[in-house]
Amino acid sequence: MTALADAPRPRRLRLRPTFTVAVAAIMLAAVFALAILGPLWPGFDPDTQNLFGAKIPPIQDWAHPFGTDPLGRDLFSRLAWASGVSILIALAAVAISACLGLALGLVAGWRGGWLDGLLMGVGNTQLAIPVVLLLIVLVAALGASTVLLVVLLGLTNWVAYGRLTRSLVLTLREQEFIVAAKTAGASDAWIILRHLLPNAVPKVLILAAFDTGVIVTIESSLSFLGLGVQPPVPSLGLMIAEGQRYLQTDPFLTVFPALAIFCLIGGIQFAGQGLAARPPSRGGR
Amino acid sequence: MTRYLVVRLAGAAATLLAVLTFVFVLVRLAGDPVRLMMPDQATAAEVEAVREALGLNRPLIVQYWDFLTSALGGSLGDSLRQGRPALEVVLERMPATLELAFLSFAIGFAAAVALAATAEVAGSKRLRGLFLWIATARQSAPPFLFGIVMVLILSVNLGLLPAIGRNSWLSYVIPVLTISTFEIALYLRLIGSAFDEMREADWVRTARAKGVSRPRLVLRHMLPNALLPVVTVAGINLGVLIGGLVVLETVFNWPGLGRLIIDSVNNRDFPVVQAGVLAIAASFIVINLAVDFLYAALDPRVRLA
Repeated sequence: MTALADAPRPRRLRLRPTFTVAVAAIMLAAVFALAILGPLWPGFDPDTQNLFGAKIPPIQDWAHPFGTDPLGRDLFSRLAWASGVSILIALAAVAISACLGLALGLVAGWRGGWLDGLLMGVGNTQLAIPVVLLLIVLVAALGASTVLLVVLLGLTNWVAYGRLTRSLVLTLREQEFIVAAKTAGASDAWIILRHLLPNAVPKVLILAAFDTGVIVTIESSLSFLGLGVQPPVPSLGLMIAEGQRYLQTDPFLTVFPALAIFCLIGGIQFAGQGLAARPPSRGGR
Repeated sequence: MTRYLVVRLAGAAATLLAVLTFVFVLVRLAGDPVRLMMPDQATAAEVEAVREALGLNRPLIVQYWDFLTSALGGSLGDSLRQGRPALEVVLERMPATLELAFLSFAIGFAAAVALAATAEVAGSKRLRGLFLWIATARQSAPPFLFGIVMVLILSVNLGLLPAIGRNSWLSYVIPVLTISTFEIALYLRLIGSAFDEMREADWVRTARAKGVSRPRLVLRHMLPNALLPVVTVAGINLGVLIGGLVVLETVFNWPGLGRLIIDSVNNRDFPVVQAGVLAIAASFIVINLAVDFLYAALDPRVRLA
């Protein structure tokens, strides 16, 4: 009886993921189109200031379809460029943390011993300080620059990848094909590169996909505080910080960058949810 | 059990020592601490005199040892701006942040449990999908962004709530709403997948066979088991929550630790930054230690391992 009642009903289940994936695709397509096609628009100019044409509301002047910011710069151009900057920063930072975590996790998991203890200890310490706070104080000590931001974002987020890879290696090393390779006399480097790495990469990529949304959240928060992307390069977080002061009179200054951030993070999250890959918990044991 | 507790305690102590080392190095990375304290027009002789007086001309290792011993004695130096002990400045601001953190955590966690249990009692995957959908959409707006939108709607347009400050209980509504709703998606996913795993378990089938009602099955049998693994993630995730809070306090002009740290970063008041980072890390370490002990108390298998 129970088995019958609980039998999966594929027709119903298939619809929802498709809908969620479609929503994700629309959100991501909107931001990527803005970031890639925006700079091709003939009126693209994120830098020229015009204090006499400041805070023009959207749709009033077709030279500035999204209006202008408090310094009279074209909001559409700034939004397009800022979206591109956020995407590139997130991808670069995730690439750094994923490679670093993968490399450290492989070595720590395979070799074990004091190296393993040291790496996991460093990871534990890093987790004791919230990443945003860690980045704030590091930026404060080392100075704010966009390149440094990417490097620091990469260096402070490797722990989740390191732990994931290490736990994968710990289960893999007991399996027959690894034992066989070892018995056949394969070197550590060979086993790590030819056997462990290819098995770890898919799971690391899933984590990286989810992590990209988290990195966008952190980067936009830091830029909002003025500790992330530095002017004159536009960034979504900084645009919101500038717009916040005119929230009562000109909310569009805040709403456009807010929508861009929402679509970027939401697109990533919904894509993950719709593809039914359960997000691996960050920093789980 | 004792062995487990001792190992965890030693781990916590090691982490604290590592964090102390980190904040020591941090200030040295920031440049010459004496230059930070002195006005720009100070002469080289005056700078040297202060350096001598503060013992900053001694070898680094001696300074490090000094820093560690005085930190363990509860002294982290004086604030450069306020001239008071940095720890005192930090401890003053802690309650405002802890209030927000615990209120937001409790409400967010309770909401996630309530939503997951409702969907499970109703036995509706569709309902859970809907809850998860809304929670994920909410999570797609970073706390600072959601906070500003809430201010725009609830304070600016409707005039219902104060936009900034911490003057009455009404000022808690927007910050707590912002942080707690940000948390829901994570816990909803975790509890939901725990339910998925146990739905086919023998003991669930046995309970159903002996006629346990569905609400009772979910609330009394499944929920306590689903919450167990979530406890550990909750302890670790508290870091994400506090991270969001640090940024959010600036948005709402909330007189907490986060705003203090950011103000001190902007004023280059490094002793306060050090003390602030230490205070947050120490609370985080203590909370995770408590979680470990709680876990051991709840699950006998952990103690025996």
